Amino acid sequence: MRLDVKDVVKRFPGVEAPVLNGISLSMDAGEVVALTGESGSGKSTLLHVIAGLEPADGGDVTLGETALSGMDDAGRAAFRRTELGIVFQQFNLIPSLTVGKNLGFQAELAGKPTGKNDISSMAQALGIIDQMAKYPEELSGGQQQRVAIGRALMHGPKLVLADEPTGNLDEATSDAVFDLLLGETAKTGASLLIVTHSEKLASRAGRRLHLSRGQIET
Amino acid sequence: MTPAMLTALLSHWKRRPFQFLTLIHGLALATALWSGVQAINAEARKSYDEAADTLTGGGLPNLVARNGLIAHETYIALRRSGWLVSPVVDGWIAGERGRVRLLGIDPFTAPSDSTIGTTIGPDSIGDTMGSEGAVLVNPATANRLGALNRTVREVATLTPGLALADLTVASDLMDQQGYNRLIVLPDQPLVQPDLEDIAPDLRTEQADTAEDLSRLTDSFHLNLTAFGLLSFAVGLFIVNGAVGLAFEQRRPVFRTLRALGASSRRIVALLIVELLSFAILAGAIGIVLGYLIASLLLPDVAATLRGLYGASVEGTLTLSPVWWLSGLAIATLGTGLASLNGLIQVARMPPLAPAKPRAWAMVNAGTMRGQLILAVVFLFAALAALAIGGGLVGGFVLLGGFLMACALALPAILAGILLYLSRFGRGPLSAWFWADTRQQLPGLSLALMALLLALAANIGVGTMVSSFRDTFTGWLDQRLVSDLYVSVETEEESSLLQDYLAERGLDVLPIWETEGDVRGAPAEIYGVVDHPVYESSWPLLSRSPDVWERLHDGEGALINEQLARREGLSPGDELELPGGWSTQVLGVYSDYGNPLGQVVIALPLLVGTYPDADKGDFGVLTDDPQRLRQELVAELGIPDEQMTDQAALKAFSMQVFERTFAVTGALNILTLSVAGLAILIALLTLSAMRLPQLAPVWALGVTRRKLAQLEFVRALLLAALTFVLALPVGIGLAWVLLTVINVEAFGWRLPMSLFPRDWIWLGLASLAAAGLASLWPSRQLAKRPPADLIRVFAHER
Ligand SMILES: Nc1ncnc2c1ncn2[C@@H]1O[C@H](COP(=O)(O)OP(=O)(O)O)[C@@H](O)[C@H]1O
Ligand SMILES: [Mg+2]
Repeated sequence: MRLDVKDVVKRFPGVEAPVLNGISLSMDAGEVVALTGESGSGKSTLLHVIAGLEPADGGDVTLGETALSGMDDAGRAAFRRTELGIVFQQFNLIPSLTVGKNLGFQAELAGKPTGKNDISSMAQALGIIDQMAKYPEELSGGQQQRVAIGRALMHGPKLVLADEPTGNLDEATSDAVFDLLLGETAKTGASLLIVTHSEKLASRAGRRLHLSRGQIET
Repeated sequence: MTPAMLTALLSHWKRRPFQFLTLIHGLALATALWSGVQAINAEARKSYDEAADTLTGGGLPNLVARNGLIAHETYIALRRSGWLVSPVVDGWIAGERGRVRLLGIDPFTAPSDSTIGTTIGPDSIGDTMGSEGAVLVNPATANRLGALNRTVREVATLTPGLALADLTVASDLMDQQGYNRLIVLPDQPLVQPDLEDIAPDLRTEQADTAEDLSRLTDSFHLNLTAFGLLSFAVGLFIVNGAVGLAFEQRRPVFRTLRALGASSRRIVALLIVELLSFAILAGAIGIVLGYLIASLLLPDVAATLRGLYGASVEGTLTLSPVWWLSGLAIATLGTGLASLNGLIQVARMPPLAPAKPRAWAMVNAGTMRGQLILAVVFLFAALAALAIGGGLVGGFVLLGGFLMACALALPAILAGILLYLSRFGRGPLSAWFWADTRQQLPGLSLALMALLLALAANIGVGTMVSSFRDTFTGWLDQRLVSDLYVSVETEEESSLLQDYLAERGLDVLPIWETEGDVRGAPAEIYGVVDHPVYESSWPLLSRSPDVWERLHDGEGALINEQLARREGLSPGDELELPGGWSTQVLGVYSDYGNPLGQVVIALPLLVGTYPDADKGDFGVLTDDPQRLRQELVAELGIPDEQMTDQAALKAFSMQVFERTFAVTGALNILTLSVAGLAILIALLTLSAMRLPQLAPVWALGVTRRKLAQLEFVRALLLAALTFVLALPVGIGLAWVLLTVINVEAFGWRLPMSLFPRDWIWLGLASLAAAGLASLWPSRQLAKRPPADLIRVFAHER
């Protein structure tokens, strides 16, 4: 499904220059795009606006036929629930639920409950099959990110947004987790927009966008 | 170095003013409730002492008539024969807000070294003497005598609630001829004729002491004290929570200070200084609040005591410095108790321990297990106290152990219930809701324990008061079987009355009585006629077969519970009675609030054995007591004041009880609102730490509104569960109060009656308290800027 971002503007109160100053981009179904830029350039902010976590001050975001502008809080929440998979840099998981429950959580929220088999095969693929009964705080950072990736994909999202998903991991773990993210997303056919600092990782995406002074530079 | 360290430590509170307020508020409220109750008790006790001193002329014996008043002639005869006595007129006059006790004395003969003597000293005799003399009262009582058409002079040293006047003035005000009693002065002539010879109808009565009065009212004060103690405990739970969190959050500061070369002893010392200054600040606020609480409640308490026991307590507070100091002491002690655990942990902390403020609020199975073990220990201590006995102290050990055990076991029990309930949940949100509620328990547990204690106290003390009322009204019914009470003065009047009533076919129950020593202590001996009304309305605690038949046949006696418990008597035992005879105990009846032993025998037996028994009082069974009363006044000339009808007596007693309820009701609301505040504070403290738990759920597509609703429901759910658990605890508390502590303290046992309708109200109140407490944090969450939630994923925490 196609993602269209058109002339998105985002300001923060007390900050004079807009963080996002008329951003436009589009992504085709199944496309993998890497978004780079200096720290503080607004990459995360752009991701949050696309995810409907924060409303834009201008412009529009459309996924397929669904336009974000004009949606209320509940509408944006439903959008996130059913259409998106999100992976943040850390603390993605719900601390009070086990790994197994975390994996299936969004799918259930989205009203597409998954069977035990689906969860197990995903856990198998992610290499966390032995951790299912544990709580997030008992896992390593790399393991936690694997669970987050699995959870973001279980319900078959149209678009996966990942904000420096390996930013907190050492290099070897980081490579492995990145591979999983690319591989598993490809299996579902979802588009993937991934923010990263690493040139090496960015080069593995199909296309690269660079964010600077509130604008996309190609 | 010390000032620098202090600045570092204290900066914590500047950044978290809310936590500071929590601490101060918990401590201040605990102190306030405790010292408020203490103030009420102290004021009442002081009044008893003063009243007893004044009324008896400083503990001197009195001469009283066996029947009615003492004639002036009798007094003159005694004086002439060398008896040094001083006449007293003693009664009640109507004042605003209830009656005022009036004492009429003779300034010339009154004992000079008693309160009376010193109040009307030589310099004030002038304007007090004679029929135009002034009425002397305490300034606090003076305004209640506004309507009195007399000169009222204020004397600060006089007991509140009591008016003192010259004999003639008092007789005039009460419209009374004759004296109520004669004080026997301490220095009597060596040779003196026998009292029997000069005034055969007088007898000597030893002075009432303050103890008699305070014994009666002890039960009431004990309730208040128990309540104060519980409220104090509730406050301490709040303090403990706030201190624990503050210590946990300051671990990085402690760590840095240690790294900079401060010894842990020094840090602990500084923390103690910090806590001590908080204790003094909060203690001072608490004392002022306590004073307000006491002065708001005291008028009701005073009215209760006045109505219930005839104890005169003025509704105004006069406080001693000792009370202020003890308030500060209890605040300091409470702070110490509540922070001991935290201080020990700081002292033991290795220099490089990491801060774990989130872990503090997270499930900690170890802590819960520790609490459970401690609960079992407390429970065993309580059971041991119950098994061994050990008097009043044992009773309080039982009470404290039981309550602590219940409070400590609460988190574990709640966790179990939540785990069970989670099985019925459907859908991901409900699964998350139950799991998350369980994880929140440790952070909320102190507030929930406080709520449990507050609710249990409400249920326990409420049950006790209601049981007391129930018992008391039942006992009134028993005592007031007759519809109209008439007392007459002479034998002629007596036979006239009996003939008159017999003519009209009305049943008469003579209430004839004498006093004497039973097993070495003063007791009352009553006679009853053979009438079925007794059997139907006197509930017996224990009985032998055919008790009523045998009683009326003169084969034995009924005794009251006090006598039975004191002497270990039960049906079948022999009991020696005054006059050198003995009879069998046939049954035991309850007789609440009476400090004296009581024996009931058949009326003919009483009259035959004790010819000089008091035979002036009668009870009459009639459908229309008002009409009979008017007829007796019109046709027999019996003064209206000598009659009382049952309905009026009962109405008066019930009114007294409503007042008592007002006091316990106010205290109930206070403790409950303290617990409500504890919940609010715990929720607000937690809400900042909750974001990491909520943000992922929100990011996955659950609105803030929905999350806020769930938070609100959670607070209600926990309050409801705590309430359900508080029911058995409260009933247990009531049981301990009624059957253990009351028996140890007063020798009689109150039967417990349960009032489930009160519980429904209390349940609704606790839901309302929890709902109100979570309204603000929930609203805050619903309005929380997304940026706050997003930050969770980017920042270290
Ligand atoms: N809630 C906010 N309020 C004010 N300024 C913000 C807020 N969130 C982000 N910013 C600012 O917007 C800019 C972009 O932030 P961000 O999108 O996090 O950058 P990046 O992810 O590229 O490092 C930064 O200068 C940051 O300080
Ligand atoms: Mg970023």
